[in-house]
Amino acid sequence: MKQQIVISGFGGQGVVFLTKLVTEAALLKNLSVFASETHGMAQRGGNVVSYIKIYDPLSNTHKFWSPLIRPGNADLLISLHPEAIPPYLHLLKEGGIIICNESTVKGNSPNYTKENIIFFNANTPALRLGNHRMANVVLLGFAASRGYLFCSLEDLISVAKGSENPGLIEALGAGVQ
Amino acid sequence: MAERKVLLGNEAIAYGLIEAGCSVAASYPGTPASEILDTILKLKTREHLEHIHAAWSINEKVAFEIALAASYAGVRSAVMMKQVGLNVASDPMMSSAYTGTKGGFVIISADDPGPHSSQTEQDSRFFAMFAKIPVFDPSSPKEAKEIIPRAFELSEQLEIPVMLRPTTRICHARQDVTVKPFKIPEVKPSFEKNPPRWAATPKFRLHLHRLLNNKIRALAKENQTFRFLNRDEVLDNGKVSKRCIVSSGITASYAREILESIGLWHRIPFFQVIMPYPLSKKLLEELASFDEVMVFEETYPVIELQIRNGVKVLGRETGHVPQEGELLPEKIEKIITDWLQPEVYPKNIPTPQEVPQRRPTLCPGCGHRSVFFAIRKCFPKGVYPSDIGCYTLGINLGSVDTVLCMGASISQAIGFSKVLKEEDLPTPVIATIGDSTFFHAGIPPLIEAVAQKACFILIILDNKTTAMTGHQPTPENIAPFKISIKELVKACGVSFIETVNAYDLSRIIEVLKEAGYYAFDKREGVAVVIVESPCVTDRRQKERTPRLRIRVTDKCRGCQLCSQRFECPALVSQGRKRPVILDEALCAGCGVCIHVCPFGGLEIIGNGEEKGL
Repeated sequence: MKQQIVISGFGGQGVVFLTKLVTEAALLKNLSVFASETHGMAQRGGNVVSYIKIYDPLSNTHKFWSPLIRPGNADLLISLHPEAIPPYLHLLKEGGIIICNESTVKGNSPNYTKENIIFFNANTPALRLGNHRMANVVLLGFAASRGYLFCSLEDLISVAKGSENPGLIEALGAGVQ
Repeated sequence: MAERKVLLGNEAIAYGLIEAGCSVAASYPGTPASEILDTILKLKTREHLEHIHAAWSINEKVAFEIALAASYAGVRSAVMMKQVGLNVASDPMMSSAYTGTKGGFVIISADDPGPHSSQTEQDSRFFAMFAKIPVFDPSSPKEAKEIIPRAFELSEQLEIPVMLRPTTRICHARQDVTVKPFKIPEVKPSFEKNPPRWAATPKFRLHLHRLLNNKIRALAKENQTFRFLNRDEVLDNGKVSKRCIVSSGITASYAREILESIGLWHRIPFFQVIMPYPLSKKLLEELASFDEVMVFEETYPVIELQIRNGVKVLGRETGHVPQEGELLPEKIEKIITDWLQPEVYPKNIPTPQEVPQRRPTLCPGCGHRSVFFAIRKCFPKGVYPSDIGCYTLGINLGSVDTVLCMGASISQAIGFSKVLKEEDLPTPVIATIGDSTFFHAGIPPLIEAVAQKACFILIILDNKTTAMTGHQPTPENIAPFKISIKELVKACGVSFIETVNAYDLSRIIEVLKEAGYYAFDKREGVAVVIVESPCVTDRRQKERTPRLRIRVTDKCRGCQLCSQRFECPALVSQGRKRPVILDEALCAGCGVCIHVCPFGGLEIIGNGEEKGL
């Protein structure tokens, strides 16, 4: 069992928050994890990216030793904004999947026709929950419920139950279609 | 009982320090090191760790000296900072290597290859070598945590400061690690007076230098400071290659993962250096049997330059490894395959698309934006020295001309104001500095400005926090001894002091003009304007930004002043002469843009509380 995930977005969209959530789910499943985050100056509205590498510590051959994902190796790219796809597209392996939130500004989405990209409007469900900042969690709920993650939606909900933010469980559920 | 947790590298270091019985922790925030003390403070409160004295210091030099004194008093202590912070603390560091320590003393200096959030890519390991103190170079968060007790023991055994040098990819990596219960150290602090040592005169310093050299020589004889990681695999394979790899830090982890993934792990001997200085003599002996040694390390050739026993070394000095920039795994992959498997390569390593990267900007609603807009409006021909912090991003608004190092805005303003003239009239010099940076290194140069009667405007951007690094407190907001910036400025001898609210653009412009009259027309001296603006991303501040609902009206002419010159990320340009679009999800509702637009193209349509912000 191993999976390499890239999460991208703009500073302030909650990339680091999602990274934490996903790594906690790995721990829950007794898997090992490496992740890498963006902090500091780059977080101020610029492009923000996280890498997550999940592996089974009991496996002898499929171990990771470092937190970065090499180009052409990512299984999944979760993007919180269409503009945050192109800078990280080269990380994706052949046949890798992209899951992307739609832009909050109409008519501002680049036109992708590739088969391996799935657009999902996570903003509307988040606004319905009264907090547009939850769009990141909604999108993660969507990815998990469609089976694209190493863990299930239930695993993420278990993590959310242990957090201090009661809105998380609802937001994860709002991504289920 | 041990427990597994996923921790950020900096959190792992914090746990490691507390588990090892560290009693005093001091730091000044700076990316990528900030979360170490953040975490210690959080754990101290949550776990009621009364035995630990942990506090943010005004700067790294002060932090260093506080922690060092605790070590003199026999308890384990640590100081942490980013790499350029070590420049500030270098004075006590050099001297502490001579005096030595009593309680274990660990200096954590986090480097930032890239650089991602720093002025330089400097390598703290060279600083350790310069000071003649040992340095550990961890290859993962887990290893960083495991090294800490060893670093304390070594420090106590040799009575020497020990450095731990993580890099950004360690500090800001997450990994599952094992944490142990915290225990209270049994050592009782006591200071043993010994003036020839702790207050040594130059004559005794020579003696201390000799002792220091002996310590470093003894350490170089250690053979536990490097690991032949794949000894078993390589020996099982029979014929040992005459080429090997020596690597340390995160690059050792990249290289190991790459060798495993391309099937070379059992063929190429791999030495991980845990302590790059002093480099183990035993390692040098091992390397003598190889024809070629490839060195991977960040960021400067510290290990590479110490391998001097006639071995052919490949690295930064020979051009095999780039001399600047982060040594990313894809670079290492290319170097390894070009070197060991040229027949297999060039394999196709995908490269990033040439796309315009979104640059960092001030947050929507940030109070600094109106100040930078006003500076350029009032003094379009001015020179604008600035400083280190979020407000460096005032560069996007054209109101930041120089950024050197902490506190330099004020000293450079003195220099500029003394020499720059335009047609015999002095060039207006307007300096900007944040509150935390002002406390850190701005007070001596402000006194200097008064003493030299330098005529410029100093704007102190007071958002009541150290915003860039995650909202650490400043001396202004540590209860109950709040220190007032205004009173400090007054005490420095400044006569012109005005305080304004960041969201009142017209008042800022008015005050800047008054300050300009004082400093540039009347030549009375330095004028200080304190702009108060609670940080929009700091949820702990009671006083919050206005929350207005804004709308684009049909008077918008698409002039792009608001989206480009004012540079608000929430105002999205659709091109010239096309009306701007307001991104409601980003807009913080500060309402400054209403006053920026000369055509009435933006208006307030209500209070934004219902947005659920």
